[in-house]
Amino acid sequence: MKKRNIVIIGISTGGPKTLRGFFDGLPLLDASIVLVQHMIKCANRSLCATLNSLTEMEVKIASHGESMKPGVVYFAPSEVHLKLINNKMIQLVESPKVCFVRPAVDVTMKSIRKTAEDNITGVIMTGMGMDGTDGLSYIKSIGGVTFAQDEITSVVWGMPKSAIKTGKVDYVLPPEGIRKKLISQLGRLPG
Amino acid sequence: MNKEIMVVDDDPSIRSTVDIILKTSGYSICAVESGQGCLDRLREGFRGLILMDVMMPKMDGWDTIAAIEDEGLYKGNVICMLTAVHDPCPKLEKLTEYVMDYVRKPFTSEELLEVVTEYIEYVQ
Repeated sequence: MKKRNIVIIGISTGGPKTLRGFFDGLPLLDASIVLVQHMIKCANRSLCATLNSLTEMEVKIASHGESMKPGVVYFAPSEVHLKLINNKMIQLVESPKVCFVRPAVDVTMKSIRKTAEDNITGVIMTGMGMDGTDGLSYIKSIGGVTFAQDEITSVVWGMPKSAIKTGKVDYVLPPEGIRKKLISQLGRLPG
Repeated sequence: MNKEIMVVDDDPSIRSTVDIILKTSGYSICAVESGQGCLDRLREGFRGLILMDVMMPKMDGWDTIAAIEDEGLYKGNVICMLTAVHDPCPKLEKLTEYVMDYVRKPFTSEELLEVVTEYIEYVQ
């Protein structure tokens, strides 16, 4: 049986500019991607629309109750946490901030279940603080693959550094290196 | 809506440099020398991109952002930090949602314009 690919990306300060480069020309990948960008609410739709125009994947603001499909990037809305139920259905919850942020990528990553049907990938990119550290360790513990952005290309090397210190990160790369690996590992959907 | 840029920096040479670079590129800009000045402009209705120095006397950039958030003045505005400091301050951790990006000093006009061009679009 063909496995589902699920990618969860956490990113913060420096994110919008970094993501623009990351998504520019990104092909239609055989994966559902959840994107957790720490960001104030009013900027969500602008960034989402920008990214949607750059990639062959569909980029949209995630909705409560929605089931994830391959080829789509689900942009976590501000001021709520995004969880996945059975690695498929999106649940938006108004629980307290985690690591001073909401949405927190730790919450999303730790909602993932280990299953035989799913390949899980976690990515932590530029930002301050520790959001994503526990989440990435968890993903590694359930057999997933983990990435962190390198110091040279990070606007703020806080979140990636914190994750790397756990020893649970498989690849430390610049955004273009992460992107290249993901394309190679995930494969493309027919366009 | 006319999107403006506010530069908040106690260094007059920085304020002047940013003013020249951005006005030459057609942007509307106001310059203030302190966090208090920034708050005053926001209370008067400023809406736009704020380029905020980190190291300022009395009220640093982080304290200013915290005050902006406390007074509910953040909505619709976008903040990028101007800083020469390489290691991020721990205060950023609690304010990370409010800071879109950094412009590292010293900066070239291209580096400043790249950030401004990117983030002015997110002003509501």
